[in-house]
Amino acid sequence: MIELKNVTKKFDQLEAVHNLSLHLEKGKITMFIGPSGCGKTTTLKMINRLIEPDEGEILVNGKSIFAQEPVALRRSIGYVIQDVGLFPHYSVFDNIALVPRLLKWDEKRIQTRVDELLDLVTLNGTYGKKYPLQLSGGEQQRVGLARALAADPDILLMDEPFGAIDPINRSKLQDSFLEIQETIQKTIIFVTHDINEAITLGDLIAIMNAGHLVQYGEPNEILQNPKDDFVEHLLGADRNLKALSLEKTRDYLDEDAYLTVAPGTNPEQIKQKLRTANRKLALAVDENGILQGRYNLEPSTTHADGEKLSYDGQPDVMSRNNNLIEALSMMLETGENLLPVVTSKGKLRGVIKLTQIFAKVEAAKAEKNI
Amino acid sequence: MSFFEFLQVYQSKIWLEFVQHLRIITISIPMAILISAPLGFFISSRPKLAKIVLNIASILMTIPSLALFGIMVVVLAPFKLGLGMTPAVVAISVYSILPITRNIYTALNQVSSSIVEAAVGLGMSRGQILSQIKIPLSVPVIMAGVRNAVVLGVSVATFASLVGAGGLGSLIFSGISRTNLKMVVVGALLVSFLGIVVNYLFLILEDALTPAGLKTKN
Repeated sequence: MIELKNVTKKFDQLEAVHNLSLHLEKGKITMFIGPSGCGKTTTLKMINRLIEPDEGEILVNGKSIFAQEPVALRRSIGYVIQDVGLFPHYSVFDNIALVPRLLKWDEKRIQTRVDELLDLVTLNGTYGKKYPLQLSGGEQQRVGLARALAADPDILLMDEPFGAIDPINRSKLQDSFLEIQETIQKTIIFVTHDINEAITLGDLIAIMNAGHLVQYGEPNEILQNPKDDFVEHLLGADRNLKALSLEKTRDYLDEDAYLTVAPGTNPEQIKQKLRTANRKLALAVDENGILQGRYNLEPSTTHADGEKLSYDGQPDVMSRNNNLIEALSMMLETGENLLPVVTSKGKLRGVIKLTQIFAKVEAAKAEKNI
Repeated sequence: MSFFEFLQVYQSKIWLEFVQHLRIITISIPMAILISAPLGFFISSRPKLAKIVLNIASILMTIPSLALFGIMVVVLAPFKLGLGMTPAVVAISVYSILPITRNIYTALNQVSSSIVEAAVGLGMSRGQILSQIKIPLSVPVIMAGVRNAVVLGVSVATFASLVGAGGLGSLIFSGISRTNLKMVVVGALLVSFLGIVVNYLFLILEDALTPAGLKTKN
């Protein structure tokens, strides 16, 4: 969809981007990552001609971007930057309406589109009349994203858009962003210096260093097979754990390791059932399948039969979209090696086991050695 | 005679000079804006040139206003314009160039670079950026510069009477030469009053012209 061919850019004597050739896929989020000065932002800015390459060709859908007027080109590409750059003297509505107005859309169409976009970025209707100075950083960036998408461009360029946001809101924005992409399915080029962000958000990752492309591929692929020491270092010593962050609990559910009982069942009965079935975990589930409580069968020195049944009416749970790192983290925190996995409504779907997480890491290692 | 009697006797003269003072300002300041505005815009994107221009304007401002009037008299004499409104208006205009030009230059450059980058990246042309972004965001600072210039002008115009242009200064200087305290006081009070009122009016104008979004800070 976007083709970079032998692109080179020099600033004075410094070669910021050296002979870069890359094919960026349609409908995917491609992350550009690398240390400061590696050329990732320069490359991004060459796509919408904010920076003009010295050599090489850039094609969008087969057409050279140099055949178009830069201003017209930029109106067909969305652009989001770290400081957002919202116009403080324009309302949120007018900010978002900017490019459609430049393109002379009629006002009714613009009104509909802005409402649509405010919905998409989860800012309810009254935000339209507010001014940027009244918004939080996260809200401003959502408006920035809406503004970039207003004219429905095929391509979205994002330069460390969440960099200035605090970690908690950044995480929320990242989740929102992924949901939004599920709806809009744009071709997104995203520059970041945060490897975790690259792994979390990227369908593809392009790793750059000193103006060169070092490795390009899917996150899993790069995590399992880093090309060289530089990439390994960039991924971090915990890259095996990072690989786990790509796995969701929903793909590792176990439905055998526990029994289900009705809420309010006699604890002695539960103990018996567990002993007979040789299980240590019983989950109380109501008639709608909603998890109500957790019974653990544990060794005890104070009970006659050597075991006690502990009950937790507010058990810690995982959602099906949580990743294995989050599951591991919760296990460490709670001291449990089995966690129930529920839907957003609280319906029980299965459990995630610590042993399964270990098995996954082992399997990944084995794959590498093939 | 009492102060009140003084005002009654001299009221037409006082009014005349007050109006004349206003006339001098209302000609000088627009003239200054006509020169400073294009100049300010022109240098706003040319930092090296800006440095030179602003330095020259600074120097012009350090010349004591009275001396500047004197210089104008001499410079304009060959053209038979050495006395009257002309030297006064020219001197005050020259004096006002610095505050207005400097404020326009500063205003256009203090528009945040991320705003400009976003504007360029989204596909606004240079002209659109200037008219829709840079100028509206610069208005408060530019207006402050104009206001500054006007208040300064009111004060400096006091010397206009010395080059035959009349104005409230004539009350002050006549009063001094005739040792008429009342006359001096009336002249001085009226100049101050005019300065304060003009400042206040321009503050209101500044507020009215400032875009809503810049005034709300939650």
